Parts: sequence; C-alpha cells; structure tokens
Amino acid sequence: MSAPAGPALRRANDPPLLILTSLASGPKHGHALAKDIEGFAAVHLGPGTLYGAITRLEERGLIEPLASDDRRRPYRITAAGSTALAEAVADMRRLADVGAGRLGLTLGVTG
Amino acid sequence: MRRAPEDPERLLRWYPSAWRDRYGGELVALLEDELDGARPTVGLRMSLALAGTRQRARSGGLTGDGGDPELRVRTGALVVLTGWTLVVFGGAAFAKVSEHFGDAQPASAQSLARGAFAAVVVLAVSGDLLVLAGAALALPATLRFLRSGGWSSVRRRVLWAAVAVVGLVAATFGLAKWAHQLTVHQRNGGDLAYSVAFLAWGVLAAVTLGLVTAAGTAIARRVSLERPVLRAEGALATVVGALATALTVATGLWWAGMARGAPWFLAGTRPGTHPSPVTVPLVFVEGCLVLASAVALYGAVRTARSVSAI
Repeated sequence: MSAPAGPALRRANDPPLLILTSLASGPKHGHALAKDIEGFAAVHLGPGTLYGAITRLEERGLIEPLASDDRRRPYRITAAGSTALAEAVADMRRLADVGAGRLGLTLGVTG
Repeated sequence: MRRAPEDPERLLRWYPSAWRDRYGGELVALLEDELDGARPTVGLRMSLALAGTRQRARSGGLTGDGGDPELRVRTGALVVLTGWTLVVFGGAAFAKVSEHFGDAQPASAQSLARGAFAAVVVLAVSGDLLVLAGAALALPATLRFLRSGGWSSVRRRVLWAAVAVVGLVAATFGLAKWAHQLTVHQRNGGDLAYSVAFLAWGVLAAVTLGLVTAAGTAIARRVSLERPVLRAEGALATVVGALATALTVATGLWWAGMARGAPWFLAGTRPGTHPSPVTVPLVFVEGCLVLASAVALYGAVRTARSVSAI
C-alpha cells in the first residue's frame, strides 16, 4: 500500500522532489540521478541522502526499479509518482505566479 | 606509505541488514562511481553513518509514518517501557531526595508539596500496575515463543539480567543492614564509605534496570502478539506515557512547594534560612525525569497515532 505524496513533496529542494523531477525525463540509476540533479538544480545529493529518498519513494510507490543485470539498477517514475510530481509542480507554479505578480515579473517557460 | 583503499561495503555497516540486502549493491556501485578509487572523506563517512542510523530507526518503526503499523505500535510501546524504566530510576532518586520532607515543614506551608507528593505516589503506583498488566497480557505469547525455540535467541540477555537482579538484591540487603547501624547524619553524607557504597548501589540499580529492560525488549521484539493484544498494549503504553509526564510535572510541583515553604530542607541548611532551592541532586532528579517522560511521551504519541491502523 502506498501512502499519499503529502507534505514530503512541498519544498523545491526536497530530495524526493528532485529525484521525481529527474526521473520524469526517463529512467536513471543512482549515479546518473545525482549528476542530472546537480545539473538542473545545482544540488549535490550525497549517496546516503539519495538512497534514503529512493527508499522512501519506492515504499510509497512513486518510483519503481527496473530489471538490471548490473548492480547499477535504474529506477523509473510510476503513474502515482507522476501525479504527485504534477501536484507539487502546480503548487510551486501557483506560488511562483503570486511572487512574480507582486514583483511585476514575467515568468518564462523552460524546456 | 599509501593506505589501501577502503572497501565501500564497510561504509554501509550502519544500515540494517535487510536494507543492505535490497539496496546495498546499488549504493556500493554509486560509491565506487563517485569515489573513483579515492578514499572516502570524513564528511562522506559521517553522512553515511547518519543516513544508515536514520534508516535503522525507520526500519525498526522508531521514526517515520511508513511501513507496518503493527511494528510502529510495538516499537512505540517498547519506547514507553524504556521511558518508564528511566522514570523508576528517577523516581527512586526522588524518593531519596524527598525522604522525611513532611517533618521539615511548618504545617501551613505543606499543602502544595504534600498534594504533589501524594500525586507522585499515585501516578507511580498506577504506572507500575499498568506496566505489569502489559507484561501479563504478553505472557501467553511469550511462553509460546520460549517453548517454540525462542529461548536460545534471548538466553544471553536474560541471564545477564538475572545475574544483575541477584547482585542488586544482595547489595540492597547488605546496604540496608549497614544503614541500620548508622545515624541519620551518617546515612546522609556523614560517612564517606557509606556514601560511596550508596552511589555504587545506585549505579548497580541503574545497570540492572537497563539490563532487565534490554532483556524484556529483546523478548518483546520477537514475540508474535495477536492484534487485540497489540491494541491493548498500545492503549496501555499511551496511558503510561501520559502518566510519566504527569509524574514529572508533580515532582516539579513538589519542588516548587518546598522551595516556597521550606527551602532549607532542599539545601540541607538550618530551618528558617533561605538558601537557593536549586540543588545539584534535585536538578539531577528532575533532569532524569524530564528525559524519561520525553522518551515515554514520544513512544506514547507514536503508539497512539498508529494503533488505530491495526
């Protein structure tokens, strides 16, 4: 049974949110995840932090491992994980819109 | 001389074995990729030690809301039991500190201290009875566990606890016999040898309580409890956690009452003087009880939050 995404995906620099964001572009193993996250968020997740978050995300059914002959097992985002990520992104978008509106900024869309 | 690179698998020794079986290979591969032959830094070692300890606490049901609610209730109840053991230790020290307090006060200033002391006694007896009730509830399952070959897995801890209990009983009789030959002044710090022996007895009592709790916890973790029994244990643990907190508050009220009515009793000075009511023994006692009730309350809250899910 998987728990709802809940408050674990509320902060933009939360390791679970960073991992889901990374996996949204396709399956990755631990090292590739760490490198990707460092690239798009400038956050270095240590091995302990990364695997702590992977453990919790897998327990909650938000990601799942793929079969692999190598020790470097890749993970992919599940449908529940995509929903949780979409909700978190929408929350952050609402906050960003309010902030941008009050500052008179126009938000661009990045790919 | 260059030291040989450390085996990355050794860095995972902080993690629980079940977690290592599932994720260990992947994490070792990640470490090898990141280290690329270099020795792990102190920061990396500490980070893995912290992450492994956190995972151990989560896997054991001590932290986090995921996983098996039965495990969380069971672990929460054991945390309460550990907290109550500390309460017993702190309570014994409180009994010594408050000994004969009723004789030292004028009657007009006794109401708060006497009321608080009566509350401490009632709460302590109630908590002890509930802990005994919890043990009685778990007894049939414990006997089944021991008969079905579980004895070998807990024998060492139980024997250590038994040896400590026998030693404590013998030491208590010896100390009591010695105390009867001494005056009140000698018993309260006037005789250095007796004071040292009393301190050693206190350490032995604390160690014995710890060993008995460790043995009880080792058995309780392995015993398979039926759901109604586990629910009842959870309810008892929640109440015991609340009692531990109330008891600590009551000892604080006793302290306040004595500080207001007879501070000389707390400081051991001449009646009628006004020394500081903050003394080292009382700070130690209250510190121990605050720690105990914090532990018990943490276990009680976790138990209460999880018991409805089983």
